[in-house]
Amino acid sequence: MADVILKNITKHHGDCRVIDNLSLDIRGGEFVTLLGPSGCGKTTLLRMVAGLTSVEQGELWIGGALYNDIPAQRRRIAMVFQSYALFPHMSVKDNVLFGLRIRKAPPHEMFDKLSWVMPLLGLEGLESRLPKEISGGQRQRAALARALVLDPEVLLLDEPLSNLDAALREMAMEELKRIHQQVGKTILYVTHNQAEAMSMSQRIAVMKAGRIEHFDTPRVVYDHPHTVFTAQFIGSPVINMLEGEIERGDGVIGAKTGLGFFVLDRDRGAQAGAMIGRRVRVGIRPQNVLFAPHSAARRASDTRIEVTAELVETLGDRSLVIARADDGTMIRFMITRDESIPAGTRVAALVDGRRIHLFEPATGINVFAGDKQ
Amino acid sequence: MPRSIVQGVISHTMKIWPLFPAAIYLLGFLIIVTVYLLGMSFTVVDGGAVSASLAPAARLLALPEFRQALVNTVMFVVVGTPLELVVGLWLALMMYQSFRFRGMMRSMLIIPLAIPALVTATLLFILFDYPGGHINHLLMGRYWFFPAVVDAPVNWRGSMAFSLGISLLGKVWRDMPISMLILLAGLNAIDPELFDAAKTMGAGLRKRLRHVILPLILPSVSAVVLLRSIEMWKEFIFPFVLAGQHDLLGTLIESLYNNWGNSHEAAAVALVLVVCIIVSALVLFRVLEGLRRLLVYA
Repeated sequence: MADVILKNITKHHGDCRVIDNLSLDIRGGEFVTLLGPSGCGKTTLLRMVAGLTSVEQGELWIGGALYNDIPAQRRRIAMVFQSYALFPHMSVKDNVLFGLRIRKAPPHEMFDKLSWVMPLLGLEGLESRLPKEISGGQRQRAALARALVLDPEVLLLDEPLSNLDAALREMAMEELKRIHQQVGKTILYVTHNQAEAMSMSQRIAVMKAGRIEHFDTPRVVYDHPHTVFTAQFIGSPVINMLEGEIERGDGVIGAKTGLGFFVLDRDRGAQAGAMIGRRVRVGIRPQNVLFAPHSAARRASDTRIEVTAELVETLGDRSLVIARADDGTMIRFMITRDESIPAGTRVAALVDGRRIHLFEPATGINVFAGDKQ
Repeated sequence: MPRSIVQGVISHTMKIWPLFPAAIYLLGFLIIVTVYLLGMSFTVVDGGAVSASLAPAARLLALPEFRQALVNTVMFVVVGTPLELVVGLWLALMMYQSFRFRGMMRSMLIIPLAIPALVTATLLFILFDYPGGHINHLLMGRYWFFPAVVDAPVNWRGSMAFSLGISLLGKVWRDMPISMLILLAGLNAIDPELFDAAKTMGAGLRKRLRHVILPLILPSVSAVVLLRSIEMWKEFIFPFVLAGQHDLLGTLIESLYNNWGNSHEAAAVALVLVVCIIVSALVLFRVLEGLRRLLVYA
């Protein structure tokens, strides 16, 4: 259970700076996800930890030792690749034992490890099959087994679920979480899928253009995003972003937008007292807009808005309503399967002011967050 | 005949008819050449009458030049094929790395293929000529940049081992890009993540080569070994230009036909060459299958 510390890491590919002075502190035994869009540098960072890509500037510490110049084959690290990278000419058993054979492990150790990992990952009976003879989910588990038997200090996972269908992915996520609880390894997981990150990780590092935008628990990243990018990347459907200004009204402080005046809760209102008149971007998650055709505000921080529904998208148990206010401001919110809004209908909804997010328009940083991490 | 069978035959014929011209062309040639070769190898002409005979084969077996040419050709194949494989593999592994000017380097390595074999062989002839070749001039100190090493010129091509060795090196130099390209195509077909995976599991370069690279490029290695060994058996130009009287089977055919005017023995040598190639290919199939088992299952 080694901790992984990245200090001021920088990496260029040609003229492009793919990792930009990035620092990250991962505790031993922690499950951390690097989450970001394609090209943000998350796989490059993972490959640096694996030793497959060199560290250009900065320091990489694993288990208290500086790892910058230690080649991949001498690191006690295991990696599961996006393609699984199972050796096509070897059976599942030979794939799983490959690393142990390379390290000249004694036969009894190989036997013990195989006896432990095959049932753990449901691979019994597949020992003699070739990778092409097993399913995608089984391949993913075989790749994971191959990594686990090495007893690595750190386990690196590079989008290992991206080739699985939705049902299999959900099962695999549960399995990975269970395995992490059982083996307690430090896991660094790379994905662009926020659902995977939210459901499995203890902490998420949201990345953009080679930098960490926000590094915290899934709950904090979702509820208190440091930046507009984080707010937009985490959460589905995507958060509504409106233009507004911090104002004082009827003894309360809030954000004035085209949709109305959103009252901030007491704590944030007190902080915003010094920001009166400041332009902000107001983030409202669709889940925090309550379709309420007849009800009045439930609490002081609720704001009633009236909009015209333009589109309704069925998402299964809920539907997404895309609506427009009189001044043209667009807002998206959710309704349950029992509620129905025909397109073109004038509807009322309540916005929960406790859950709105205010960001600096220029920097995109949350006005209550201070400096971003 | 039921209608469905007729329709099936017509449908199948329509699918494969474009193959017919090529198949007729190839088979036609093969049959004509084989029949002619067999006919010439096992007949004699006596006073204008042609009769079946084992005399050409018997005369050939008694001919010391034939036995020496057979030994020389076997050595040419046994040394040349692995040499071309090793050089080709080494170059393919180099070209597989990413480095600046890789494209230009790869183009340069293909240049030998663009030079006709006769030109390459003639250049080597000029280099190693006796007494006035460039190598002799160099070693005798005729060039300002190199000190005199020998007093008298050396008759390089007078030695059988040396003249055939130079022929072999010239052949390998000229044809090595073919092996390199086949092996490079094999390497490029491998998912690079397999190499990364092996690295993260502790495999250094030697173990990656043994456990990952070689087993996965074995189809390409097989292609190189089979194709290049056949080429080595058939080699003509380099020993013809450089080795003079030290024949391989290929040059012996020419000698028997043109110099000694004995077309029936020449045909018999050609037949021996065909048999050697077939036997060698069958042996190599077995060897390569054994190698595959060794690399994949060991």
